[in-house]
Amino acid sequence: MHALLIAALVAGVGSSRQHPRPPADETTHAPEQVEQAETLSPAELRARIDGYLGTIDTAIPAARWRALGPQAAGPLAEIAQSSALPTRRAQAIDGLAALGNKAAPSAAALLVKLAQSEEEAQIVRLAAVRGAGRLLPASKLGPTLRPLLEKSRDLHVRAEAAQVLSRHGHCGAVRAQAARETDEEREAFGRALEKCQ
Amino acid sequence: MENGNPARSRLCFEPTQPTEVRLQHGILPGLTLLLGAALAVACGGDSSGGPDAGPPAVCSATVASPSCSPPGTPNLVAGGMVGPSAAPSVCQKPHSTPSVRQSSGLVQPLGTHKVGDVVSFNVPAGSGSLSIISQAINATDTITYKGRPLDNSVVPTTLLKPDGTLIYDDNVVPDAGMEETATVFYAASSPVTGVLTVPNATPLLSSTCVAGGLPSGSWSVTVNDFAYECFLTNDPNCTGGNNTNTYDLSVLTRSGPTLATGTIDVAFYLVGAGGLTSAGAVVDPHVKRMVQTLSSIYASAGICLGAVTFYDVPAWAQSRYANGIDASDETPCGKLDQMFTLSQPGNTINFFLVGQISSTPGGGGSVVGIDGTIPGPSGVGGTVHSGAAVSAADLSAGVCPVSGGLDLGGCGADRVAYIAAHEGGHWMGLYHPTEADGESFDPLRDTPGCSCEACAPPGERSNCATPGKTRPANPAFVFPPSCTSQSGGCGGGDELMFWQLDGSVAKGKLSAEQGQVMRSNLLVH
Repeated sequence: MHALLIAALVAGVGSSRQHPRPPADETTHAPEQVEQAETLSPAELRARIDGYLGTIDTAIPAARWRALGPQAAGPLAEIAQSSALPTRRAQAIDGLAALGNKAAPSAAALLVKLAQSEEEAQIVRLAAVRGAGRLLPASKLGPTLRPLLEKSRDLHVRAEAAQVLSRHGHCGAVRAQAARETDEEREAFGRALEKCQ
Repeated sequence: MENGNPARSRLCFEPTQPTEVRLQHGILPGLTLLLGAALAVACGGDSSGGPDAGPPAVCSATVASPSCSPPGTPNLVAGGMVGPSAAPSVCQKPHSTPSVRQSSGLVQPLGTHKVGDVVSFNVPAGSGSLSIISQAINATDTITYKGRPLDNSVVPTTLLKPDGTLIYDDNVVPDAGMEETATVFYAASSPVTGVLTVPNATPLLSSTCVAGGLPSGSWSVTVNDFAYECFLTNDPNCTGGNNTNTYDLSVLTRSGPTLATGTIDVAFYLVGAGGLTSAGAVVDPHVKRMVQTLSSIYASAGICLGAVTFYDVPAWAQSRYANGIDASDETPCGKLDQMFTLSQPGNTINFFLVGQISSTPGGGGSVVGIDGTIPGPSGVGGTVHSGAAVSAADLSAGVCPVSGGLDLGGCGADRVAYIAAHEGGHWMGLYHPTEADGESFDPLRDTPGCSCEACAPPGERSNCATPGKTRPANPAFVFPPSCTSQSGGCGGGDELMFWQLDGSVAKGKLSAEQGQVMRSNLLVH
């Protein structure tokens, strides 16, 4: 049993069902922390990025993206805006957001632009909203995301904005928007409302 | 389609892989076991069902009257709306009655038992596989180890064959000299409902092939979960253990040796598929492409797609689950497991097409698929693990070649199909041949391994998570370009079950043993 328990706690990789939890050293949430960047050639960097973007059911912890350093910001931003398949673009946005403002100083503006575009694929917008929540300073979160919360035509973009805002104390706006949704649509706001309880 | 009991002959051949196989027990990474003659089974040998001397064998049955001709002719069906009209107000942990096709299997209800109970069951002669299904009647969801919650996974243990041989003990880590205990592999995190299916590892696959079935007679298993193991250890780091949890047990046996070819039925639940309805799905060109690609991938394992049924789910479920799944929340009352309770009774792989699947550890990210458990509970619909989630965000994106096979980089339908095939592989009992860190591997001998120490780029090997050494903060990963050797020890990057999909490398390959595991599943008819 010890083998199983210990392994479950320390295993850092594997399909989620096979390895229930990433290890503690890979779960630290520190968006502004810049890891000791690995020394990679441009080709190695691109290969590493492609590797992370190809994951199927193995989560890539933010610390891994951060370890790529500022040099990853350009390639990731390029993919995020490309005509690649939506899941690839969304995962690139995840990586960009994980890099943080110090490593990717222009990422926040890009993510806001993607989040606001009603023309973008839904999964791209959702990743951009989530990423913007990591990169925008607290003072800009409300002004940027509340319009999405209240006016986006896409229920799930509204709900993602609610989730981000709920983590930063904008519970009044979240509750108000949830009240405006239909009973069925309000189901998408579950996590945000739980956070605001 | 069903074809009675076709006459069969078995063909055994030697796998081409090297003799060193890293064998993972439970979820402990890095155990290595040298599989040599001790685990080999003589091709065409006796029918004792046990390991014997001789070359390793793989079951590659040939059938005079094949069950189907892969990839078959999938029949797309609009299944209409399923699921409750209103959102459940409390967590659902349904307990379902297992069922199998009468012509292909047998269900033995074993009743409700407490952890620690030893339960006997009969395996009829000629059974190709058996599945022990444990469903919680009254069980805790989590325990705590070193201050962290851990899902209270079902972990059947002390599985004994009729001759009394122990073939699986969850408390024993197999190593050299204890190969027999490694003939069964179980590594799922599976609270509330768990399935152990055998054969699923090389030694028992080989002996089952040679014998034409598992050893017949009275087998036994001990009812067990993490909470009970926690209770037994008296480890102060472990709290929440008990000896009172109860489970309903059933054993499902599959009649006859593994077919050379067989048909599976699958279901797609349209939770977040860009507004697609079941009526629209059956005529949608992207969906048709996806199904075609899925069937072509499984064809290499001798599997045909039969009925492919599309279900709509109520609006509340679309709102709640379409983009709300968090892959890191695998608790029974989490959204992933609760979504799976929408699955219908029947013997199908249940794919839930959603939008995004987020993963919160480390501050956010996403994955494109996740299984309910390994293996999936074939024959039992509606449980918290009766499904696999697949992102459908790429389904209608990109450009698909009119001819020329897969385009995993540019054709969204192909990519969704590949992800579904991968998660469906987990459902049918397959693990990643090599995990991302290149330190843990599946229990099959003929799937190429790709170890970090041998295959990662040379500059990264010092950063491998080598067992016995201090684990680096971000251990090196092994990626497909490093795992493309066809003859050396660095392969598998082109396999369906590799942990990562690289469109320039992936070919959706399935090994002979993987095919045997899949076709041994109760789904196959």
